Amino acid sequence: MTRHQFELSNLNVAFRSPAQTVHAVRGVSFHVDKGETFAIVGESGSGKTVSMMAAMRLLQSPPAHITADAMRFKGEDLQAVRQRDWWRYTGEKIAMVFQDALTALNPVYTVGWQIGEMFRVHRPQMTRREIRAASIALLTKVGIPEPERRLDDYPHQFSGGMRQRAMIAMGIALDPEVLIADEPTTALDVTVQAQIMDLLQQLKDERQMSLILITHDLGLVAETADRVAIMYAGTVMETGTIRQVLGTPRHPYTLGLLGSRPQAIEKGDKLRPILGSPPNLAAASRGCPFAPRCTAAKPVCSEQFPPTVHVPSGQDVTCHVVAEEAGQGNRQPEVTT
Amino acid sequence: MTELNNTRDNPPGAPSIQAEMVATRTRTPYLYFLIRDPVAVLAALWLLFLLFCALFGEWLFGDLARGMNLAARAAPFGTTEGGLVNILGADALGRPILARIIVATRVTLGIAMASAIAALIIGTLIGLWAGFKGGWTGRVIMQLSDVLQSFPSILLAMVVLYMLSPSPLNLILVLAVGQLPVYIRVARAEVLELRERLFVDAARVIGARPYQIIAMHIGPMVIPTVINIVTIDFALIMLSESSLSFLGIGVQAPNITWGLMVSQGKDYLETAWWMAFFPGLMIMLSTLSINLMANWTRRIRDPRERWRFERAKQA
Amino acid sequence: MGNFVLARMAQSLISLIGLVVLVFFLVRLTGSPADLYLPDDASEAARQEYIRIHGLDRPMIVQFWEFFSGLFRLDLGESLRQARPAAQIVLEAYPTSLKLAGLTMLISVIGAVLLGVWAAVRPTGLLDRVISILSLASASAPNFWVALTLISVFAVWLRVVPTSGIGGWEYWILPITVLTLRPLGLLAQVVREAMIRALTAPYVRTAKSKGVPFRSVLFVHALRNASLPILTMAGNQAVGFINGSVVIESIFGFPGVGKLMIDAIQQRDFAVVQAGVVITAVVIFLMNILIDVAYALLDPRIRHK
Repeated sequence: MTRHQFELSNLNVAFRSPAQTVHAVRGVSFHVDKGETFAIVGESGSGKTVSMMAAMRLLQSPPAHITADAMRFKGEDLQAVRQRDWWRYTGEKIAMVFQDALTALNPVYTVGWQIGEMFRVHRPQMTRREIRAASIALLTKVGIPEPERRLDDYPHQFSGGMRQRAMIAMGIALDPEVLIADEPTTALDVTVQAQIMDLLQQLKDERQMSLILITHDLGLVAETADRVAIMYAGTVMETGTIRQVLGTPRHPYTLGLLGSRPQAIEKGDKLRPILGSPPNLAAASRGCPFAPRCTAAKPVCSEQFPPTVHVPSGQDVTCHVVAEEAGQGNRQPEVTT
Repeated sequence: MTELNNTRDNPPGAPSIQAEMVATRTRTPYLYFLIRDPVAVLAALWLLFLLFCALFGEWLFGDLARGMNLAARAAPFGTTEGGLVNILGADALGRPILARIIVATRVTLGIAMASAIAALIIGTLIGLWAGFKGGWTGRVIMQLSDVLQSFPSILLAMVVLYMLSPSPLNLILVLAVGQLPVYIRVARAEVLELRERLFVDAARVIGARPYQIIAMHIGPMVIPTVINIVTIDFALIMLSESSLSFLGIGVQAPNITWGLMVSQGKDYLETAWWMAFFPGLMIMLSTLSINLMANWTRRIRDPRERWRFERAKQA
Repeated sequence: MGNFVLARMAQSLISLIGLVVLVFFLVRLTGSPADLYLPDDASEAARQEYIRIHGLDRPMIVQFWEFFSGLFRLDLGESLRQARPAAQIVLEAYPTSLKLAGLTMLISVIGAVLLGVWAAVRPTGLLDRVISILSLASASAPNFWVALTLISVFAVWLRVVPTSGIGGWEYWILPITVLTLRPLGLLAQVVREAMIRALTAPYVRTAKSKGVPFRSVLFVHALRNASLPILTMAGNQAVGFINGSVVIESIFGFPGVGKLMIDAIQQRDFAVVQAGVVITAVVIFLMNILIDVAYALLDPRIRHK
């Protein structure tokens, strides 16, 4: 078995209250290799962010209830790490960059202080002067002009794009091997979005990081990712390389997504939106979560959870219809690639 | 760029999911939440008991509370001599503390309630006026309200009661004045917000005068906020009244309030502690109950906390 | 930062002047100031004499000018009982009260932060419920009653502290304990609320993802952000400290401004009452400036406005 940089297997997250249980993530499995960009795509509430938050122990429990067959970092079992040792992993080996840096950065501390905190926590032997020098180097790296001066500014004194750059500087401060970027460009202008993505790609290449990109932007995925997982209602619907999933999509949901992209439409055609709205995750259905909105749905779809099948074009698809076509009605345990 | 959704992703994690839970919640009656919370039940029962005392106390114990009984002078706590009514002891004139406490409920609560309601009505009206008028009038009103707010309310009451006479009506008014600023602020803020929203679109489109629209919508907006404030104010005013009565510039004998009773008992601390202790305990339990209920309603209404108390859905 | 504080200062200065004007007119609205300044049993001749000497028969505007310019000379009239300037008497009493208020606020803020943060870590947990009820109880307790009860138990019965008066540190224990209760209870609730809000904020999640130890997440990242509402409540309580000190100082025989005021009211010594009000307004004005400076120090967004 190959050792992946980062690997999740059969992750389940439920939020429990006395009144109800919301199954936010159901059986999510994926892995990322060295130097690779892996994108998780889905609409809001599809569980893409919650999966990563669960893996990074950022959900409060209760109400969150998390189970997984495996969570591994370079083969090491992350679930076995005691909470008091967790800080050696988060920020150091696996770092995160969040969306909307205005709220994700602490408004009452300077940017320099927040970047420096990475060193103060993880590199206690560094002196203040060394930390400052390292922080300036980081700001220069992510393309912030006049870094010496900007270090003493507060987040609200930065522009949106600059804030996101500062956030990235903080993420890469300790040379992490995996960088999780959660909608890193959502709050930004289109031109700035492209700059930020270029920066992330360039950093990833230089440092041979693995980049996990969480986004709802298919265009972005097509341009930057190596492999992709399409999530819907807490489940991975289709996963494979960009070429496989976007080139020869098989899952009805993926097909629907690509059909609802403005670019996919010939001039004069109408947009074909996916009809209906995402399911209420509190009412856990036994069947495929997409069944109610699926144009190809069969009776079995609303009764049984669909199997995951490896289709000839190379990707894994979680769908009854595709499984039947491929002559594999039996349910496979999990994704294997 | 393709957007799967045009709304920005919620800040991920528990909060957004909880919001979702709240959105899909079943409507659970308040009574259900109440019986699940023993502390709130006790508080509610206590308030019911007070209501009963306020309504029927005078009728049941009025004579006992005022008549002198030299035989029972300073009867100690726990005695049953002369009937169970002496269980909490008696004061220097032999009047049973228990009876006096029960009879005092009406005036104590009455003053606080009258004062709280007066503050609510006057404050809200001034606030609405300040909001409607805007400009200079509005600014002057707010400035005055700031003066009032930054000045210690008990000191204010002391000075005013010094210049006027400490009649119950003056007491009610002076206690109300101290609480005006909150209502002025809230009511004015709501009017300004409504103006912002309706002035431009609805009013112009329908051709109605903006004031008419504001007048129609202001009630439902102001009332819930103001009701919550008034409950907490009620407890606050009760404390202020008892402080003033304790200092001898509030309610005067022969009226009885709990604060006055503590004041009358304070000279007997070494010989008859029950004279001051039990009336004070009543104040404490009553303000605590009111605050507990206010706190509880607020938590139940808060979506961030409400889910914790929700009823399990029947399968 | 200068701008913000200056703007707020101007605002409070208007309030201060407003209050002084209010005092001037209230005194004259309720009748002749001579009735207030003089003892109840003063003869008509003494009354006329007083009016003549103090020029109370002159036009309002002249009187107001006299009164207003007198403020700057700290001339707030003469005490009826002590026959010396009222302002001097009030100023002599103030240090004791300020010391009492300062110690009280210090203890309340520290205690409330510890309790509130502790409760906010697990909202609606057992600890949270216990702390919530205790803080509500301590904010609901009538302070004069708590004072009497503590005197009964610790001074009369156990005899470990003196009942009243002023002297060594042991005289301060009971008054400070009683005065601490209400601010402590109110502040603990505010801290809890503000911390719960701060702990769900995205920047706290960022801090956790950086591997910052939980203690620092609480006290460095969240608490600093929660400090504005805490400061607001602490400021309100500090500004209103005299509410509590009137009652508590008179119970414990503490020679502060609160006791001075209530004594002056009972002796109908109006000059002292008026001086107390005006000087208290000035003290509050100064405290509000300190609070505004603290706001600006705590939140850079206010500083840069």
